[in-house]
Amino acid sequence: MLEVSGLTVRFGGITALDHVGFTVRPGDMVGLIGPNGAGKTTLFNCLTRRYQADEGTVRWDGADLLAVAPHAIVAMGIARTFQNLGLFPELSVRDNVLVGAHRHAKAGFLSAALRLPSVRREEAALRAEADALLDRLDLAAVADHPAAGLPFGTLKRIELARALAARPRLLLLDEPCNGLSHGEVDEFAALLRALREERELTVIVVEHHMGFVMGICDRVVCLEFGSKIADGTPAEVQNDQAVRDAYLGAAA
Amino acid sequence: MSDVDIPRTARLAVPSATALRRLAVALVAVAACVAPFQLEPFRVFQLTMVLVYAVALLGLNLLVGHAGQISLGHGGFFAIGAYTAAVMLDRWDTPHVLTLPAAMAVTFALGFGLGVPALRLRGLYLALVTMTIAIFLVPLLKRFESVTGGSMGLTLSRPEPPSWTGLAEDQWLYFLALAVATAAGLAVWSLLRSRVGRALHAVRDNEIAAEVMGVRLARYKTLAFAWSAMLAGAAGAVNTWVIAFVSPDSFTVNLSILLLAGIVVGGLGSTFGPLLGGAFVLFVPTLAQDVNQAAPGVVFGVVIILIMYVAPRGLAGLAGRGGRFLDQALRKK
Ligand SMILES: Nc1ncnc2c1ncn2[C@@H]1O[C@H](COP(=O)(O)OP(=O)(O)O)[C@@H](O)[C@H]1O
Ligand SMILES: [Mg+2]
Repeated sequence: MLEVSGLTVRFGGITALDHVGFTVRPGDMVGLIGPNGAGKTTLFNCLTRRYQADEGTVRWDGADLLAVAPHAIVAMGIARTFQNLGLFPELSVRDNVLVGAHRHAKAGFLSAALRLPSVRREEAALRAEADALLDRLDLAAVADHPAAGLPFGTLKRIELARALAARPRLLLLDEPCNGLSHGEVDEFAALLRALREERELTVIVVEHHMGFVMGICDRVVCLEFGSKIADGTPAEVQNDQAVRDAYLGAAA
Repeated sequence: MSDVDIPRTARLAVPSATALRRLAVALVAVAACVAPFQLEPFRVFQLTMVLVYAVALLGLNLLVGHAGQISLGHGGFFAIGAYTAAVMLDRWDTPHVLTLPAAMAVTFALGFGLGVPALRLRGLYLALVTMTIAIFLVPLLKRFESVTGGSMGLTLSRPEPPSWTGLAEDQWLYFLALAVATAAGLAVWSLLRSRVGRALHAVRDNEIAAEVMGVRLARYKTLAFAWSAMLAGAAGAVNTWVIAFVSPDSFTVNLSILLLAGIVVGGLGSTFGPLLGGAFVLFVPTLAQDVNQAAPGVVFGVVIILIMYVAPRGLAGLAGRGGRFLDQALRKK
């Protein structure tokens, strides 16, 4: 269970998040929507400890998430993707995914340099798991290709595969459909639904594609100028006057 | 040749790229073992020095090519390795083999210590700070004369070839350098093909994403610095065995710059870049001296510019391109 309360982040004069609070139950798929600049990515950055919160608390399974070091977030079972992709361009697709499994292995400098049997065993197991994941996400054909230079839709899937390699319980997706065609969005929705079942994921997904959000999420939270303006079922949020105004205002 | 139509299956099987690479490695290995028996002693000495520099460049490549940091201080670690071995030989008559682990331990510790401030710095700032290591070292070595021999340096003994080998001194030194280079090369190769290597690459390519996936940036950067310094230190110790002399003026800032130029020219992040870079470090400055006595620096600079123009990914990149070209040519036939 994720409990965010009173979360506030300021950048100089801007209040990117203003006392935001909501909870996510295990197994939920929560949509996080709001016009550009509403603070959605900032919220993810707080949950993964990239940004320092000025006020508020975040509890994850009872633990104080804001006291965890950034590199240790993934060990708490939280993985994310980035709005503008955060891949390792010179690494092969498989190696990108293997970095996702970093926390599930132990090899250090010395044991790796000596190629100890334990390291070789561990490596074989990691590879088998990564290859299974690549298969599942239809990436086996490009496994040995460097990440740089592949189509955008493929890169998005690689990033998802990398996040899944960490075996997260909470998955944070930042605009996963951005740049995908209509057909691809539907495919992605089906994939995400299936993965959530298979891997018992809790998901928070930031997305502008309303068809996607309303179709796949159990709950939707809407931010505007850093404040939460709505929180409810897709139908409730869709019919919410403040949400309509926010989007009309943004469109105007 | 007659143009008889041969059935496709009967044609010579085209070797795969990995098979070609294995063949190349095997050929190099054989050549490396045969060379000291075919060449005159001075050439053997030169090859030995190429191997010494290659070990230092393995370290620099780990740091610059794979972890994406920079160091203009590796000449300093090389010197500290060289002096650690020299002082042990001079003062305590330590057996030569023992000076190698000692030099590695000292440079590892120093690299670790200096890697901590390096965490906060990037690019040019890091280059400057690491360069100060190299700058301060020369006067420091001159200052502590009683230990280091001051400006006069220390003259030492060379490791003697055991009689059962039947090798001459230059050949024995060559095989010692070859053993150290091979061990270092295999260790780095294994390191890079593991979780650790991937983490270093991840840090180089995208720090933020690496950290999100659980890579401890500080730990990996400092350890990369320490391992890199340790390899430079190992090279320095072997350098002492081979040259049997150390003096501060052999280890000026120029050496650090030369090493960095060597790995860039050899091929950053490539497997054989250190070896090619080692050859560059040994031969090009002398070559420049021969071509133009008055301004060797100019010739040296022009050579670097030319190589980088023809081969922006270094000599190893050029060799890789040649290999692929050959591969395709074979396949088309
Ligand atoms: N690192 C930062 N420094 C300064 N301002 C920032 C920073 N990150 C985000 N902001 C500001 O915070 C606000 C929210 O941004 P963001 O969270 O990216 O919005 P969203 O993801 O909802 O489009 C914007 O006004 C943005 O300019
Ligand atoms: Mg955003």
